[in-house]
Amino acid sequence: MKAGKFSSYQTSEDFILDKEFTHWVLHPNKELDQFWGSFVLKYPEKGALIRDAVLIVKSLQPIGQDVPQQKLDTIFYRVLKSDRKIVIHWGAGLKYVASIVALIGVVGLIYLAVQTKNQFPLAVATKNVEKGKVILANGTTQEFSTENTVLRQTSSGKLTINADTVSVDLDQTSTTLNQIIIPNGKRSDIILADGTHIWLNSGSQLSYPTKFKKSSREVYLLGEALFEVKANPDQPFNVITKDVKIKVLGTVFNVSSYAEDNTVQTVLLKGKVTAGRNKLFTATIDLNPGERLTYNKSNEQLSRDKVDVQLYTSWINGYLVFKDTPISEVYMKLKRYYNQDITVENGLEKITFSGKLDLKDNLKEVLENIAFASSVNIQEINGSYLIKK
Amino acid sequence: MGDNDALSLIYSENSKKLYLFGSKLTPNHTIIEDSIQDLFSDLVRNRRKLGDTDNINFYLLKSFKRKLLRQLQKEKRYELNDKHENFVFDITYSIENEIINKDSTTTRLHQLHKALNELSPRQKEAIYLRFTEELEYAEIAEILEMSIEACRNLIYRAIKSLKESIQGNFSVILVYLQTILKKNI
Repeated sequence: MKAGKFSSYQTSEDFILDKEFTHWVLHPNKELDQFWGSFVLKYPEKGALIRDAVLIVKSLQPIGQDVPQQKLDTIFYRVLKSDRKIVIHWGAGLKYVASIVALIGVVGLIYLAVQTKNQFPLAVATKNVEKGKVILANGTTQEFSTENTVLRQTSSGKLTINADTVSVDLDQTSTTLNQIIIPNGKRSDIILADGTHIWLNSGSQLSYPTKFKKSSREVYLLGEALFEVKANPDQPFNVITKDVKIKVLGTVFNVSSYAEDNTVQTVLLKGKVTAGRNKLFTATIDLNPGERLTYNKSNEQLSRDKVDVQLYTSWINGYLVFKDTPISEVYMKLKRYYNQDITVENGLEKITFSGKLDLKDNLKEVLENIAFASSVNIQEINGSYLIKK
Repeated sequence: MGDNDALSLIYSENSKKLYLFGSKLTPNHTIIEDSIQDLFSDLVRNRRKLGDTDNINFYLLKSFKRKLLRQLQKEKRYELNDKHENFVFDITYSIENEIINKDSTTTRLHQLHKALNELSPRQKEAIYLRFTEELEYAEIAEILEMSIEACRNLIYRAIKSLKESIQGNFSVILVYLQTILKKNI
């Protein structure tokens, strides 16, 4: 530290507003005491200024106030609990540890309860279903056979399907789930009570409570859906699939988690999401717009890459876009969309397709387009299609 | 250092400070506690790499205040734009102890005490962040949602008024004269 700068100071304010000076007043040590001692000896005319400055800086300090340490320990325990990620630090030497260790017994029981309760609520049952349906929390079922079904859930408990009111659930305290099932060949457009917009794709299921919990919004997905989540920082939105859990505050993203696919893919369009495996004690990955998170079911690995988001979201507008996509994947999507059988002969694994398919066209037209672009042949047998070389 | 080790270290170093800062913004301790919990839950949830943040203390104070204000607004239905005006920065300065404990009755101390209590809530908050939390002007400006220049000015004026309070009556008279002159011109 150099005395030169300080010797030019003309007022107490100059000293008070200097961080090096206040650092000495607030955290004095031998070295600094010596420096300032000799400074005053050298520049006695600054003595009065420094005296006032010290008095003022000291007077600005708040009175010592008690903080309930026990309260703080409890808060930290709750922080860990809400994350369900408790690690015991034996001998970590930190104050809160003792209280956490004392609670471990209870916690163990809580976790057992939580884990058994957290059974994934959706089963594969869309295969041979012709009609779409909603299984309401009260057990009743409503069926519909429209191509693109419009479902609206209001916070007052009212549910409409294609503008017909089907249910007024007055018991809003119930956290039991409503389940929407969309068969192959159909789609739906859903708005939940919080304003979140969900496009649920063919052969997919979605479960949601009539009214969300105060602290978080949780929906369960099997299959594919595009989410436009209504922002609410106080009530994060969670999409839970069998393998992957995606946490968001408010954003647009597409999730594909079909049981028959080997991967679960989350593609982010806007905002920010955090995703990870749907398991306790696992790490999560943050996604930025334009990125895709892929969970590989066979090796249980998560990976992240940049993608063209259009390829993953065009389905809500009634067309599919592909770019160098293996034709087996293309046909898998078409099977779900048209609910018709398509078989691909062995040996065509390396053939890819790039282009845009209009889902308003009939399946035969669509298949002919692919056949032309990717140089394969189609054979129709009793309403099923076989793709050959 | 593992995730939880890092977290517990940050918590043990900062939670008390946040609690104290919060208690100056609101007497509602439930809201202070909820905001602390919320803040740290976010840290865990978002796996923020706090080591990369230049000043953890600043980051926590800023995020904590934002959460606290949001909670208070919900509770009391404050309009967003008068959030500054509605809050009192409730601080008791240690000088009070000095006056009582040491039975010191010097007018200087009393005048300083009086001047401290005459500071605006915003000045008190800025001074707290500068002289107790030892943040930089840029950081304080961000927490108070004002420009760095305005923030520097706010603190400078506060300090100046405190100094004048202890520098005899001459400057007081001078200020008084100045205001009278201004009014008459």
